[in-house]
Amino acid sequence: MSIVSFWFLVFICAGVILYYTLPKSWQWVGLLVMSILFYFMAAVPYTIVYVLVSVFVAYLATNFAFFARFQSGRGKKIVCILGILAIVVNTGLWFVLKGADIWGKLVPGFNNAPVLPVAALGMGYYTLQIIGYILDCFMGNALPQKNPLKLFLFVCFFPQLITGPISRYGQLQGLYEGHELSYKNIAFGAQRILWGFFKKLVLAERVGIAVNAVWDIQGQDAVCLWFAFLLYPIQMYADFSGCMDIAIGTAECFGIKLPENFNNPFFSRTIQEFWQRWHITLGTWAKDYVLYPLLKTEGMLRFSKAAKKRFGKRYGKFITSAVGMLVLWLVMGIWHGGMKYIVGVSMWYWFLLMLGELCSPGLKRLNKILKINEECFSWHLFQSIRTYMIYAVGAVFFRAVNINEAILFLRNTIGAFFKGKWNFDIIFELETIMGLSGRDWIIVLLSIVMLVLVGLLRQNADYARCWVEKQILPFRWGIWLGLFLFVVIYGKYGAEYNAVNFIYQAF
Amino acid sequence: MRKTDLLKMSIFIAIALFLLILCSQVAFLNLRGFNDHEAFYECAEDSIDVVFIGGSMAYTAFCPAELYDRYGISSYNFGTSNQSMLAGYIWAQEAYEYQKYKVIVVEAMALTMSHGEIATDIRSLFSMGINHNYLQLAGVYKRNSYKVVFPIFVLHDGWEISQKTFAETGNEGNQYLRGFVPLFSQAGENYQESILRGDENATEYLNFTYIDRLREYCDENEIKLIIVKTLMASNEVNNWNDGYHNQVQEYATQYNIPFIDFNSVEYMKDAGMDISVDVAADLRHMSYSGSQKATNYLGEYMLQMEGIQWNLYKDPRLNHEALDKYYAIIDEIEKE
Repeated sequence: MSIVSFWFLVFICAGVILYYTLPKSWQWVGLLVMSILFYFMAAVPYTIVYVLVSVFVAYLATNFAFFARFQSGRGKKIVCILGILAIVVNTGLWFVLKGADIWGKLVPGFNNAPVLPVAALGMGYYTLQIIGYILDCFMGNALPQKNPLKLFLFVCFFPQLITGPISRYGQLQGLYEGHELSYKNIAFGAQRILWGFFKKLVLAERVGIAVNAVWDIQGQDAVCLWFAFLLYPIQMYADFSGCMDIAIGTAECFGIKLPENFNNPFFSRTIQEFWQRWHITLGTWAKDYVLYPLLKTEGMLRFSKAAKKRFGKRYGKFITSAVGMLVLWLVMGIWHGGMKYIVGVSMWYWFLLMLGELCSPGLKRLNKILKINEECFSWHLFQSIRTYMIYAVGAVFFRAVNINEAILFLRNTIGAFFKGKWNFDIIFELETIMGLSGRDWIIVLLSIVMLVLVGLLRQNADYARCWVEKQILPFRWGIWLGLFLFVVIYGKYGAEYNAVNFIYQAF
Repeated sequence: MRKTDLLKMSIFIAIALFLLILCSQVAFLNLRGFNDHEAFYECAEDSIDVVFIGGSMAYTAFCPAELYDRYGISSYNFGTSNQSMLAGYIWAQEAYEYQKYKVIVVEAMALTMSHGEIATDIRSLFSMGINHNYLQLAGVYKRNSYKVVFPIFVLHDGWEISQKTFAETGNEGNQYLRGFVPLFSQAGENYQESILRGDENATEYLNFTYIDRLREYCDENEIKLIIVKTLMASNEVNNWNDGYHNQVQEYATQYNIPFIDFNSVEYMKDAGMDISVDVAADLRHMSYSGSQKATNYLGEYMLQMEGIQWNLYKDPRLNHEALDKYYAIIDEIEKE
């Protein structure tokens, strides 16, 4: 069952009715049943065994460690062993099944990625979630869950199964609390789901047709190549954040708040800011569980001291930060599960982040000399466009099958720009070349404008729906009914067209 | 939750559902001129003796106005693009509620599709609106039954479909054409042999589920069933071939149903057909010239059938004036 299907909506409606008719102390059981049902309908059923293994290992390790820490004298050592063991089992299971592209190339005897059993649904997401839970328990940030079924619910809560967000154990305590049926929760949840459907079905699917057409023919015309190059980040954003809206909206219908994963990433001025606004839960997870603990290790502290002594305070700090960030970005790249991500995500963004940090003081001085007003709209716009372009380069690696294809695409795109292969007449043939009619392009444009408007409202009025809520009833109903019809009529779905899977579903 | 909130939510959902129904109706309107059979409902009650069902091969081959003009038999052609046997069976039931017809002619290509894509079947039946016959689709497409009830979920891309299909041209003035669409192109000299060559072409097995139901329905209502395969010039994949012919022949023999395959040399000669002129340039449909021969053949054949009380030349909507208009439309289409 796809989460952009009619039957998913029916599933939510039935689930909401079931949930709120149950006594509050049993509501979490209702969620558990729904999550298991959803898993069986959306994934290869037997893969639930992987989830069970992960939960079982985490449950045993955290509870034994808790027991050992307070009951036995040799507690510290056992706690460490159990913690490492639990993380190794979970990471290993994920790495074997999802990281085949990496270890298939590195381990001798394997020729590229071997064929493996199907991985569990959302394995990349729930593995990070459960590792976070184990670390929280071992670092004393959370008490271990005594009920294995409740822990299982934390891992396989159905809205976040497809593409996250990667929630912390502390953030999902709402799962175990009883909730009253609330008009606001249902209305806000439904609105968020509708907005997610809009992003996925109207924008991402439509843009996807054009992008795929260019990638499939790998034409040499600069206009087409640049169209695809510039549109793919929009497709990715609409696809991923659309799925996130559906997940967050669904959870909201049950009174549960999931963490946000996006915060207007394309409004970012720098690539550093971009990564604070894009896939937020992955970034914060990597910082909290990889970067900060790493920087606190004895080895890194010694390294930092030595670097500061050798290169001075500023550059010593920079070098330490660069090493830490390199590890962080490698983890992020490996999590995506392929060599191309290590190059396109880890290396590219790490390099630019470091370059930015290194050049930042110099650039600031230059701006001062040139008397550039850094707070004006046009400078902000320039910075946002620059950030967008940098992200677009990395995004090519998401779309390409492998590193070679990504590099070829970038070479063609940049090459076509400099060779002057600009055939603007092609704009009138976009329907035949890119598979979208003139009306489709108008819808794409309109949808992007809507995204920007909603983004601005979010920035200035918390959320767009909060702004809408303050309007008079005919206006707000007009907006939601209008959006509903817009999705129904202009969505790319239906008997003769099937929406493709979410891009981030693969991880 | 307060009662007022519950009421507000119910009203909102009711409006959304109403809008869905409204959109579905608009989407249906958008299909007008494309497989449109609204003219059927304008026919005088119990004036029609023969109905034709099938895909585009039916609506390009059987010409009700000329059948009436030459033989006095009043008929209506329910052919729609890619019509499946399921859609044809539903049309047969719908038609019988308005017209106690005596003969039903099934174009055999429909047998190659027991039921089609949901979108195709909805498009085939949209003219009847959402009534009890149409809703039979919901029983067939169980998981997609909501699409049958709210066809906007299937027809939502209607705004993208160019309305200028070749079927549309013929359906203008459908009250005279009665579902018939003339094609004036011709196959040409390269195609002079029958596509049935006596070889057992590899082919899929036909699904007789809905023709079985239609046969039973005909038995219950004393309707004569005839299966006809129109003339074609291509036996490539998805077209007619010996394999299909033999399966239908076997079925027809088993239930004593007349089966006229114009692709067999015997019927081709009897009807005076010539592939080069009687098949259209697409090699799949019959040309206007071919449709006249097929219609004539069927007219004569049906008049010789026993046990049928014909109401010859008694259709008030196909008077001289109407027939003149029909021929004027044909001339106009030919000039285009």
